[in-house]
Amino acid sequence: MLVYTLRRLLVAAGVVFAVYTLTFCLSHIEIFNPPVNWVEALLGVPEEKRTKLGLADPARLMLGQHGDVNTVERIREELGLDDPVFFNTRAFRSGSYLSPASWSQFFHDQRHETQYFRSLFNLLLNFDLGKANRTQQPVSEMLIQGASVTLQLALAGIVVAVVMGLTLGILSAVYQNTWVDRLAMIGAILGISVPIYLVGLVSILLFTKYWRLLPGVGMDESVLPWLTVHLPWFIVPPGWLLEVRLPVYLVLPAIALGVRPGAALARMMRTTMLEVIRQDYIRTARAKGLDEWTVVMKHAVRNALIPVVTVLGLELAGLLTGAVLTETIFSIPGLGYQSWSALKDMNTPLIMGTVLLVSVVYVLANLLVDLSYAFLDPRIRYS
Amino acid sequence: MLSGTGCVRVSKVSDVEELKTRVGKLEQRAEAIESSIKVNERMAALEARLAELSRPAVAAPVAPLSSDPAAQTAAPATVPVAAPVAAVSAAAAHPERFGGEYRQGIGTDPPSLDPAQISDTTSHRVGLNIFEGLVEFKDEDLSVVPLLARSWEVSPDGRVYTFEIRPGVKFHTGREVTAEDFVYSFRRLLDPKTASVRAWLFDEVLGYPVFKAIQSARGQLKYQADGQYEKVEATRIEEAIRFLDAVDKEHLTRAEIPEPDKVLATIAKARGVLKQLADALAQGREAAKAVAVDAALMQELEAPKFEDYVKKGIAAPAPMTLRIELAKPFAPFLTVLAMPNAGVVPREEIEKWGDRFSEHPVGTGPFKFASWQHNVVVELEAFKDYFLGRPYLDKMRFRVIPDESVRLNEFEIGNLEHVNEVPDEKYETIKATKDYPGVLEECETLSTFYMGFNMTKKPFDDLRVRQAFSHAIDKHTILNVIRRGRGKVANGVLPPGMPAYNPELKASDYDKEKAIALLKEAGYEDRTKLGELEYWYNATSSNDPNARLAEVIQQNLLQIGVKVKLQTTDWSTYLKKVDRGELALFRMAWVADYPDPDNFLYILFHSKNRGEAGNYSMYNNPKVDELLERGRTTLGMADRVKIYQELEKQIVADSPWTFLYHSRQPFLRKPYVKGVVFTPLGNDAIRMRGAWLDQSQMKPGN
Amino acid sequence: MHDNGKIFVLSYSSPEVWLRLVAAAVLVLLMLAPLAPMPVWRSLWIDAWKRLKRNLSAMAGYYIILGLCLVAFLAPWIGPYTPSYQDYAAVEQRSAETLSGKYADTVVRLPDFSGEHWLSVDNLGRDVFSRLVHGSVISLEVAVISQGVAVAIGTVLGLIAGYYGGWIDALLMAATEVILAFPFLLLVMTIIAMFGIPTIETIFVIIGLIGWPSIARVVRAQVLSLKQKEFIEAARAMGATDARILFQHLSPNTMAPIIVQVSLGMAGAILSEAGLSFLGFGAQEPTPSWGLMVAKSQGDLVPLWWLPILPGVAIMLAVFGFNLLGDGLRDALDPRMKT
Repeated sequence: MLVYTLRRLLVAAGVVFAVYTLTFCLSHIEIFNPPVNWVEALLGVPEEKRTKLGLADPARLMLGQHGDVNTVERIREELGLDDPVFFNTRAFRSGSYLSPASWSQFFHDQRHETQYFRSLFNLLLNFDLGKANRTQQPVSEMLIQGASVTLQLALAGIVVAVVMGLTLGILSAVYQNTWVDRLAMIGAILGISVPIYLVGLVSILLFTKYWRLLPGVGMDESVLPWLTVHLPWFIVPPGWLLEVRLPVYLVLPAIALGVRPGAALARMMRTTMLEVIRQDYIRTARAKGLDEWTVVMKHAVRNALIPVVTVLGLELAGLLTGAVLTETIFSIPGLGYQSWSALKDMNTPLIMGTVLLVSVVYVLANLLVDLSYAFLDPRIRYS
Repeated sequence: MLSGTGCVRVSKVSDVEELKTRVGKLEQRAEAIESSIKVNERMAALEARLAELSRPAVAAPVAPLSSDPAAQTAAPATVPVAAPVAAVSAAAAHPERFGGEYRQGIGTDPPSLDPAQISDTTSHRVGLNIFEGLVEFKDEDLSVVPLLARSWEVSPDGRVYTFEIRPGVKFHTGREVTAEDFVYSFRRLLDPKTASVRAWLFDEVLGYPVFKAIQSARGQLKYQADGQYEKVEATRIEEAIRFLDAVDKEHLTRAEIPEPDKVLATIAKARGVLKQLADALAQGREAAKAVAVDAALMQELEAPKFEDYVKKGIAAPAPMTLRIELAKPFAPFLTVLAMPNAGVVPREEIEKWGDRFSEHPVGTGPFKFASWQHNVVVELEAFKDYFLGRPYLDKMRFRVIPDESVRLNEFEIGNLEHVNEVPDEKYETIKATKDYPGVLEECETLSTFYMGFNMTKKPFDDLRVRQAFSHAIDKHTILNVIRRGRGKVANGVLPPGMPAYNPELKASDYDKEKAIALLKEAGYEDRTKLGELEYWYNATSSNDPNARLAEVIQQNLLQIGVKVKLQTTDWSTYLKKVDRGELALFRMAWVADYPDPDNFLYILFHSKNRGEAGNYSMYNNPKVDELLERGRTTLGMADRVKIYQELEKQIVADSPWTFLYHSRQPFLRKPYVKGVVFTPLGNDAIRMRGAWLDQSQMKPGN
Repeated sequence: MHDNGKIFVLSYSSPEVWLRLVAAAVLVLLMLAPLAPMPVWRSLWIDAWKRLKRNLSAMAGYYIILGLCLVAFLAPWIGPYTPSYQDYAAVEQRSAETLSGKYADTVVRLPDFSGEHWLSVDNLGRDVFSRLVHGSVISLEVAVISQGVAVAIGTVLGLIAGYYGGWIDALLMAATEVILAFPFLLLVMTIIAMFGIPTIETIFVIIGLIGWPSIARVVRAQVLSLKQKEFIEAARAMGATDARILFQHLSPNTMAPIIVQVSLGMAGAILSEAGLSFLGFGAQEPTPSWGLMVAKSQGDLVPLWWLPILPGVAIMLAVFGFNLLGDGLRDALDPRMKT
């Protein structure tokens, strides 16, 4: 088990590294700038083509419409934007491939004067992701800020999904083949069909503009009250109370985000419930004379929950994707909104940071899901 | 912002009751504490106000200034002792106006609060309140009036400016401002170590052109000497040679640069090598590598330090006297000094913080920097020792809210005191709503929106094609449909309100037949011969006015049978593309930095500004260049107006742009906001010195 | 058939017009198909069709999709204007109306069906109804093209993975897992941001390129279960080549799960395209993409709510139709999977 985990961790690190390098290539080498080809871009751009480089140029951005070449160049130099991306061959320019001095110079240049290795070492040694274009704010700070907002949103979304999914799923399983079941399942298919922004817009229209009940867009930390949701009793163990306190501004976004995974969950729940209900121990429970609700809730639901948990794990990617759309429509300054605007503005350092964070989260989540299988199902053994 | 916003709590049911009672008790205590804090704050504010009232007003009585815009440059001129607009000098008379917090929304985190680096509207909006310079624009007519300078004198040849600094002005740190501070601040702006984006403000200062020439020569030669051959560029060498050629002995002696003959000899030597290099480059890269640069020359180029060059140009002959000498007359110089970039900064703070001065800005303005939570809020507070008396407001909060519609929403629910943009689709609703919780003011700004042609690219090297395209564009509809009529159709470069604006100018009108005829004349009867044309624009949101403009333009051109493809990209890539002249057809706009025609015409049409400096159409007309130079060096506004009107006529005839419109900007404020002045310089140049909140009109939810 | 900028000029001498009409006629016939008498002989497909006919929700999906196709083929007849025609007078009239204060306090307005533009115009004066109608073409195109690409890649890779097993199988399945679980929208957006916004066709293909794993997986599963069946053993014994076994014997038997998967995949593809366009990384103006329409008219939510909401409803309806049909097909084609 330990060996397996370590091996998986190693692979995970490899995946993250590969994603990082690939994104770095894509964002720093302008292969779409016609005069430059891949080889040139990697090994150093020939002199004549040099001035054609650097389209999304943070230095240029700082100067605005009345720029000055000298200043642009000075800033570019300061930010190291003119350094080669991968290979700095300056040490060998005089042709001395054999002298140890030029080799040590080469390694020094490689480490400090190539864009890729400099940022890689900065990342590994100092956890420094660089600074965002224009605002020159540390990317790591922005990511932490954005991620914490998105985390809240995702949690709230999961709550909505779980409540909706379990309720619909259990109801339709218990009342299988009645109108309740049909209605719930049609609702569930609608739920996986509806675009997030439609839910968002309709809820803004109704709750914010028409009934003026809830705040529509943005998040203001200071003025809004809380909404306390008690999770239904069949989710939490008896004798305990799970209380989720949501800031009110998250209510509508959470609904928009939660509908899709909720509908998926409802379908999954129904299927597994139906399977479970056919099991012998349920028949036994019924035979014992327990009333139907106790049978369903105490015996069936609990056993049906295990596959559902893994479904939720798999919905992570969906949640992240959904967060981009939800945050855009509700203007919530989370990771999704941030990455969206970073992509729009070609804010390269921020894009790099986001991609890195997402891939780390994704790899770790996958690892956790796989490991949790082993714990949940003793038949699975990793060697 | 993030702490305590969402939480999941798991607890035993039996604990819950107990917890609830404990929470209740805590809440009671919190309330008690809060109310006592409020009382304390109130007391403190009252005390502050009392102290304020008992202090004698610093401001001198106001001497009304001539509103004739020519007055600012009429030579020789001595401006009498005068105080700025009296908004605050009467402060003592209105104790009830003091207090309150003013909140506005900004779209992004300010990139920098260092006056040397401020070049964007967001930083400008915040920085304006912290930094002040020698002069400022009068709110009514944008003429230049004294601020930290008490008076000034301009020599008859228009080259020497002598400022008398106002005594008793204090930095936020408490130290008094002297002429030395201005010398330091201005030299810092020019110093290449600062890498200021606004060094061009002082481009004409005596001695600096020499320094710049030597710098650019040194740059190219250093690449050559270090073997970084790929960085040597023919165009840059030409530029350096041109700069060097402009240096003469007289300039050197006047600037009192040490050992002028030696410098001249160095320049001659550098020029020789550069020439050699340029010739070799013409032969090819390999040939250029052979050109040797000797170390002695490089050392000589280093010789006089930066300070030596400008020591005469910017100097303080007396503790409260500042003398600025220009290499040649520069008519808009005083106007330039009113930009926030020319604000005075204390040397000791900059030396203390270094690069991080932007995070701890200190100036002399009515508000001092309090705190900055990146991407959340910048807070300023009233500067008690402001030389015109403390401002009414206690505090200002600039909240970072990226989305325009969210800002409007926040304004409507009462979380912002003003917003300075109204989305096009909301404009009419706001105007039509009777009990709208805000007052909408509008002001024509000094801006021009245009569709630019790259005059060096086919087919736009042909005047008839440019004219045809201009005739095809229905500007009135564009203004009405895209901007909901907010603005004025443009018929020339200069916007109304700018000196030298010419209302008689008539740029192309909407005339499809004429456009088609012109195209035919130019040999494009078959439109497919025009090739695959692309119209470029930059857009941030999908509902960006630029995007909508692009679509209308596409439709308009389709009417004369011209098919264009729309292309969009982000702002920084876009800028690079227009810099390099890659785009044949593009949108652009220019908003005045300072209210002088020079700011539009020189930057946008001088041939030496082709590319990144602003002339994106690559317009090159020697006659216009000459007139532009003349306009800069001529003193007296009346003469300059003639020059500018003449050259603008020429530009319009050459049709490098399709002039679209001058925009009108909204300023949406709460009814209780008073004393905020909104000028044609745009709603990012709003000064808050005299702003106050009318408590009697404040009601919850308003 | 061409457009004169404002409306489509339908000249009945051009083949395109007739092709559209014939396609429409076929669609009408398909709509009537459930009423047709069933043949007396039996086959897997006929049985499935019978089961499908009995499934109400599947039939609802069937008709939604056919209706959508009909609208798409007859778009030039239904939509009165070309989707890019800008009626500036209509915008100015709307502005004047708003300014008059008539709708100042109206949160929810009702469309004025009697006017020149049934569902009003967007902020550039383009007829919303026409754009909605023409938007169906884009949605169906993305569904068909992207799933075409996905099926082509997914079937081949699924067959190979299932048939050969071993490291090829492991590698391909690892790839499918990565693609399936990665936040896809973010990935595509990143690629598009870096490569520059491509044409709409390229976006269809990109969506297809990311949609193949689910098809590959069902094909592989099917192959794994068939591999040991007698008829394959027999074919192998008769000396058939691998390629022959794969494409002659195995692939026809994977049809049923592929059809199910394609139907569900089309739903996903429509949703993806709309999402990308909504975020500004998909279709570009003046393409009448539903997602783009939602994004562009968000500001008009009050009081012209239908401007952003109707295109959203259209997306939902299309996706709903494919999902319903997909579910129905799964039940009909594979009775064992019925729950």
